[in-house]
Amino acid sequence: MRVSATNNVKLKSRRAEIAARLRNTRPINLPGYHQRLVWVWLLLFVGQFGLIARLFWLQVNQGEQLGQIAKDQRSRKLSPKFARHPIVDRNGNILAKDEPTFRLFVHPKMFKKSRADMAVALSPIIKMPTEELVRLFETGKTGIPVTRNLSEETAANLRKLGLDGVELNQEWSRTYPQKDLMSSIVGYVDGEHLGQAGLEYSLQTWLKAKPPSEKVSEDGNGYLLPNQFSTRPLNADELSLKLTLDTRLQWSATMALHKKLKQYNALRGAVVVMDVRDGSLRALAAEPSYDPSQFYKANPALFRNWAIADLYEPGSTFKPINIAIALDAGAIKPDTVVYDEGHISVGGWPIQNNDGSSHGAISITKVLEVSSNIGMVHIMERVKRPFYYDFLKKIGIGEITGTDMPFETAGSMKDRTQFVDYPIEAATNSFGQGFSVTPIQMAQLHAAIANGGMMVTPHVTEGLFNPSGKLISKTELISPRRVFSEASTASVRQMMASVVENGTGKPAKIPGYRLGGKTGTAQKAGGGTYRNARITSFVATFPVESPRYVIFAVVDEPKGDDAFGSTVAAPIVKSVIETLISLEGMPPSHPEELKKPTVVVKKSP
Amino acid sequence: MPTAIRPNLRAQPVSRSERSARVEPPSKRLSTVMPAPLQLVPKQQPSRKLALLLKLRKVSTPTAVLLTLVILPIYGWSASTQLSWGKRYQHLEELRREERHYQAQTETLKHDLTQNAMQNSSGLVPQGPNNNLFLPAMPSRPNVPVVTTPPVQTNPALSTPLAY
Repeated sequence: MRVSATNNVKLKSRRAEIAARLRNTRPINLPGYHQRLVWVWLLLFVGQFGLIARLFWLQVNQGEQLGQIAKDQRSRKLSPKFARHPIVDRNGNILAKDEPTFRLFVHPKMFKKSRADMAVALSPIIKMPTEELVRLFETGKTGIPVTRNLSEETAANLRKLGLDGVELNQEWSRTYPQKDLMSSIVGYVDGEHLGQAGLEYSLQTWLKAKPPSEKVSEDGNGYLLPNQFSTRPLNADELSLKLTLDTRLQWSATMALHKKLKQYNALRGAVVVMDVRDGSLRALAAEPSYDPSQFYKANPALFRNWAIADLYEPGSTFKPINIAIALDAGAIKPDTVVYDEGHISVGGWPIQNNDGSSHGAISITKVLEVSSNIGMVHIMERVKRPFYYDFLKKIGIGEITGTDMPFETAGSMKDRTQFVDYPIEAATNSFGQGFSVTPIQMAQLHAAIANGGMMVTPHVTEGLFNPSGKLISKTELISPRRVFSEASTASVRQMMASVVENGTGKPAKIPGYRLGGKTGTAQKAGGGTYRNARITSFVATFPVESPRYVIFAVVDEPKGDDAFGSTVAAPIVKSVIETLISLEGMPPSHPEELKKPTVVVKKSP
Repeated sequence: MPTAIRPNLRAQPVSRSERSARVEPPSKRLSTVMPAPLQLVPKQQPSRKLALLLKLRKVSTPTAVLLTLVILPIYGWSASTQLSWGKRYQHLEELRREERHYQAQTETLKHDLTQNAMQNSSGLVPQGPNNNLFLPAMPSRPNVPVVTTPPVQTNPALSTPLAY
């Protein structure tokens, strides 16, 4: 029993020990722990709820806005390739093109290196002496312009340096690779990149390129990511303004003109080559010209193409137009004969032929061949003056042609009452004096004779084309309209062909080919009277069998006793036609007239 | 009054044999100070649901691993493709920039060459009808009708066998 009692005691003590150990391991709950527990729980719950609420607010309420901000942060617009569309000729030769350039500014207060170190780093890239740069850096704390017109490569090299306090601003410079060859048509842009002359001015809104609007995403290294790119071709918006001009023909016209201007010490000259089917100009040379990249050195008078902007009295080159009017009026027939007495008096005003000679009874063709003023007066006397006046208005005398080139001047003409009441007006008009037109309008009128009587609008723009050659937009031009009958124009063309074969147009004759032409030598008016100065011109229709082109050359104030349309302007037209034949590969209509090319065959020893 | 936590000795069901083992004479129990070791619960057959879940785990785990192994390279490929696209795009932009640069230079060169050629000293002659050869146009040839020849019999049907 005693043993048992001892065991019981041991057991109890062991149990107590275990109980004590368990008590020690159990957390001691201090007074108020329940309340604390509730507060902690509440805190966690509220915190969690707050987080969820905030998440809801950000995701649902602000989601779209924040998403956009995030998107904006990782996306950017593609940099534009040019601010103005390039201008190209009909064969794709570049006439005007934008080049991105950069202007360098420095902010010395943001420099992390010393000014000397910065100058040493920048000097070899921008090719400026270190001393000059250091001196420049000391002129201010911020916003110091260092240099401009830096190339893209130079700008990329500068960026690679990763220097603080260096700022590159993109600008545009317009390059004109053809220099002064096309400046009379293309024009130029000023320092603000705004067109101030030529097509650069008249098609300002058309030429302005739309900067890329779509944004694309980029990664942290600045590489673009494809996900936001448009599925359209990358260069779909890179349009170019295509002209109808041919640079090679323009060269030929300019050189031929330049040669004669120099030979006759003339004031200025112009050559127009027009496709008679649609009025598109293949060449439009106006001399003297200017280099558009150095427009500030040029005479501002040159910024207006004088072939479009200046008026002159056309003289004898207008005679074929008058013949067509008389034929259409039924006043004459192609075989009508008129009497040229050498000099006459109309309304008290004396009129005589250019050389003062009399040609007697001559046909209409002969009138043109010898360029008889008296013959023309007698032809146009047969046309009733109101009809004559209305016809002149119908063919646009005194109006603009509606060309797409800027600064066009409307011609001038007497009013209807004066024209009808005073016979001298119609008489002087009959040989191309007493009214004025622009050289481009003369080309337009002769194009109507060449194409069978349709008045087409002279133009130089073909339209805006995308890189795959698709026409995107086109200038609105006055639609072609009939002004002469086909029969009349055919007769006039035959007469003009005879002028080149037998008359004053012989200097323009090209063996193997047939062309129609007419010379013009007009006295220049000034100060209310005619001066001794003259303006010589020559117009040709080529090939006369099925006319494709009208070539018109006009030279203002050539000096010398032998300065006539036949000696000054006709050789220019001949030279241009010869180039045209080569460019278009036109076979001769009379090959037997061509000189056989000499082929030298060397015999091998 | 805090309550003492006691070990739950009834946590496991006690079998009859165990119960009989517990009613041993106290003398024997006292001799061993440590309590009797707990015996392992006999393994029970898992329920059908559990078995299904276990099977599902057996299948899904390797599938997940496999998919991860497959997806990781695809993800890497997609990321690297975009990166390489970006690099190539940049290269393309550089090439296009150079192209524009060369275009302008070519045009300037063409202009300068023409200007030099136009000078009399160069000895070059402008193209014109006198230095062109015009060949007469060939008369258009009549269309030759296509002669249809009978098909050549390449494998004539043999009446007699070649060999046996």
